[in-house]
Amino acid sequence: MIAPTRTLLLFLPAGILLGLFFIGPIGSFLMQGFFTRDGGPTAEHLSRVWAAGTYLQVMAASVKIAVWVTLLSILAAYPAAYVLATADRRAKGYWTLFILLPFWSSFLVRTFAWIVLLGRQGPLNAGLTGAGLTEAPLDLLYTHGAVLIGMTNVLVPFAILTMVGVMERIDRGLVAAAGTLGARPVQAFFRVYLPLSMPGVTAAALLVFITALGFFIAPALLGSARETMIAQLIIQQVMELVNWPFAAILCLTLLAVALVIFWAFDRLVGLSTLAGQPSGHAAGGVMRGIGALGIRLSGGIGDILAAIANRIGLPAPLTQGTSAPIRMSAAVVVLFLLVPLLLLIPVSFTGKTYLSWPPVDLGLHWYQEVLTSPVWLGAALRSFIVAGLTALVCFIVAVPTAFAFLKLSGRTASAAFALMISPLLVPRLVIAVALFYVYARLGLVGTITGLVIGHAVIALPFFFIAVIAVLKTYDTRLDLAAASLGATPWQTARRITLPLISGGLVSAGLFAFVVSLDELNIALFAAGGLQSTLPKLMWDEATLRFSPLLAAVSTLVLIVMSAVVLLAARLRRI
Amino acid sequence: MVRYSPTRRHLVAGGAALLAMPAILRAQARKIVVRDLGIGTSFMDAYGKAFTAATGIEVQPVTGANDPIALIKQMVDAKTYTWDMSIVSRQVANQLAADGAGYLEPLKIDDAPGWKALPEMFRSPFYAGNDVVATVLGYRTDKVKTPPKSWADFFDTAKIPGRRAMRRSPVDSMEQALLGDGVAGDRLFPLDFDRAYKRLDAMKKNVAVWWTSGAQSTQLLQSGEVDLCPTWNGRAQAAVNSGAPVAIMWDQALWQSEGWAILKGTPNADLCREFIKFALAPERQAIFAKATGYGPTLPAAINSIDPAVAKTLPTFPANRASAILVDVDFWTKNRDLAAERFNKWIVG
Repeated sequence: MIAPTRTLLLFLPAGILLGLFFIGPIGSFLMQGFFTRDGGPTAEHLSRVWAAGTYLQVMAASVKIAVWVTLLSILAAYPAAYVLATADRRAKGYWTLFILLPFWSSFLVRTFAWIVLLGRQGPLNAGLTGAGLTEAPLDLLYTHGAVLIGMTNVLVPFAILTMVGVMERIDRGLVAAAGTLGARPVQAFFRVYLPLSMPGVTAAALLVFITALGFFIAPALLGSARETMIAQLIIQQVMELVNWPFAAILCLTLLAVALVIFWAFDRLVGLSTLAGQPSGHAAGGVMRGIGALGIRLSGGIGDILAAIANRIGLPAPLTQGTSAPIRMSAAVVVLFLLVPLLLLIPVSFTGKTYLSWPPVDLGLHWYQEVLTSPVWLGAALRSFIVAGLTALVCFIVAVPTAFAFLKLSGRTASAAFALMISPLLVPRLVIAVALFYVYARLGLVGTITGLVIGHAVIALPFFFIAVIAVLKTYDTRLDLAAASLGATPWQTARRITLPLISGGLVSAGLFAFVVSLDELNIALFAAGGLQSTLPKLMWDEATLRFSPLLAAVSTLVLIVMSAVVLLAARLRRI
Repeated sequence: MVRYSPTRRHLVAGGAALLAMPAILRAQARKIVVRDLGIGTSFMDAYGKAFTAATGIEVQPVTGANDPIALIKQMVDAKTYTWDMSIVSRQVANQLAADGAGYLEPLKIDDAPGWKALPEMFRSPFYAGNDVVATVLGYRTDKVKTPPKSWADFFDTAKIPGRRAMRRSPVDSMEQALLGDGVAGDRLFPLDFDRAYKRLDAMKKNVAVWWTSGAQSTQLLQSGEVDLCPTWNGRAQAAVNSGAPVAIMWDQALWQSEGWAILKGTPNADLCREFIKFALAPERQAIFAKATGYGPTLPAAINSIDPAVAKTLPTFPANRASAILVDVDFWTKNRDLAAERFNKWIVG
């Protein structure tokens, strides 16, 4: 047993990191919203949000977009996660590779790929008019649909990886048992598998929803003015109008909405399901009713579908496995994830100076520019170093906390969990702006250390959720056995626990690595543009030049990462 | 043709080592960090390299796409001079200088020949103009058969059909709407917002895209996504230079200037002054203008530029005939509420 003081001690690293570099700076940033320039209290900014109306309208539009993106992401992620969870070892390696590939590439680059893909002169419109399906090019870009597509494309891999953790632990024997008892596969799915996988679905939905709520680049580049999201207005207040008190109030509005969603989630399914554990502490009253209703509804749908299948006389397959339609839909999802990256491969060879379709005067010009540029190579190296260090910091901070977290229960557990994933709730730009002042005091502006700390704060929730999911399946009796044989806690951790959970820790580390590799705001706003990272250079390139160089960088990253993932898969097999 | 190749600028920036380098150490070396517009290697080619060669003072450029007003306030407030000086728009310079105790160092370079030659409209005690940015109308010559001759033409969708884009900002859009509604250039300021919105209300359904970044506006014209797009002249010129069938309407060009400003309290202020004096030279501005498409502020500079290039610059005599200087102080006063009203209008 771990004594309360020891538990607290295990929380210490996370407490220091989040206290110094998240709660402190964010708190003082947000407090500005309630004070005048001279330090007197004021409700001026708060009342402006209500009075102007626009902000609440944009907030509502943001929630609407986030809800749509969440629904689409879950629908797309489910079959892919299912196939990933149920595939045999070898097939799994390939599915993982394809699903992870877009994960490795920059969300910025993918957003730009959609601009080319959906444009009036883009390949999609060219195909449609070429095939005689439409007479004039369709307005695909700068629409609600384009925003949903772009955002869903970025968030589906997150949803898949969150769901897989839960699905892998579902005992497939239960589904088989339902079949033995006479359920059609569709019935078994809706009555047994779907309810069992719900914790993963809800966890993924929450992650996607909260992340989507803070998006600002995709709606600005792919949407019309109607798709303006609240983060865009916050950024405008921070960067352009420099009205930080008002930005703080807008931020708090966003936080409030996120917290309401969080609260509803906790009541409905329990926060701990985020880590992939079926609902532990009970939800009461109305919320439990909704949950039960959902399960009954799911069962009902299964029954109806089974009845339809019986009526039209579909033969019930005897074997339980991934059926062809599911594999097909998973393949479609993977294709959707890969399309923007694949499109950029031909574009990267174009001789034109701008991103356009079709590529002409093919050559290696853009590759030459990247590969001979010390700045791009330096930034790539720096980004990989920072990402590696970020994963390391997350490891040191989150693993002890995760062990301590598992000893907690009830409200304390919920609070600890909320604390650990709280960086997810604040727009990254606000974290970066707030961090600048702390960095200025500590001399960390424009340093690698500053980048790593900022990235670690942002990556921590992802790492923590992944680690908790692993630890929950770990049999703690093994630790007790080691202790009873005379091992010290350190020996137990080093020789028993860590080796057993190493696989899970590696995936958690990858999560943190990827988040860091794609993180833009810290480099942009907390480093003053010094110590450029890969996303920072891509951002400059995208906002200043918009050239095929982006496509070349994207393709190079794709090649390097495929090699790494393939190598990792091979090593694991040995 | 302008090739926006970052290679050489990056070579210099790449000198910044991979390892951390606290800002305190920098102050001891003779080096200044300058935030520039990031248009290829233009800044280092025109000013940075020659300055280092002449003085031995190292120049490190930092790229930033937007007006960096928030970042400068942060740095001065925290006395952490990640940058020593910056190219900023006149509007940002005025706003920073007027805010509280002021965020900019007085230039005090009155004896410099470059300063004396600088027209009054391009200088203030905290600001020395480097280039003129004109907001112009770029249009596709393959789609627009009648060349537009005024903002009224841009707003006349019957006379000139075609897909249109506009900038998602009250700055520029308000001026264009009023000029489009027939307001004379010399009576434009103070802007009549009510009248501008009335004109925009009628126009809204004809605007297919509201762009947010300069590169986006270039891409819209290059790819043919839209047929008419008001943008900064350097951005439209980039589309022309890339070979796209794009032309620029110079009539009623809306002028703003960009120039040098020093962050208040930077230990390197005197080195920055040296730099600004050095940069205020016609032959240096000519190099910058050729690379960026933005017009030199020193009158002598335009004469030393090849006529073929000079006629693509805002300060070329034919192009400046009907140009209108934007009243930046009006915007400093009204920006906040104008932004709110514009947001409300555009999402509504």
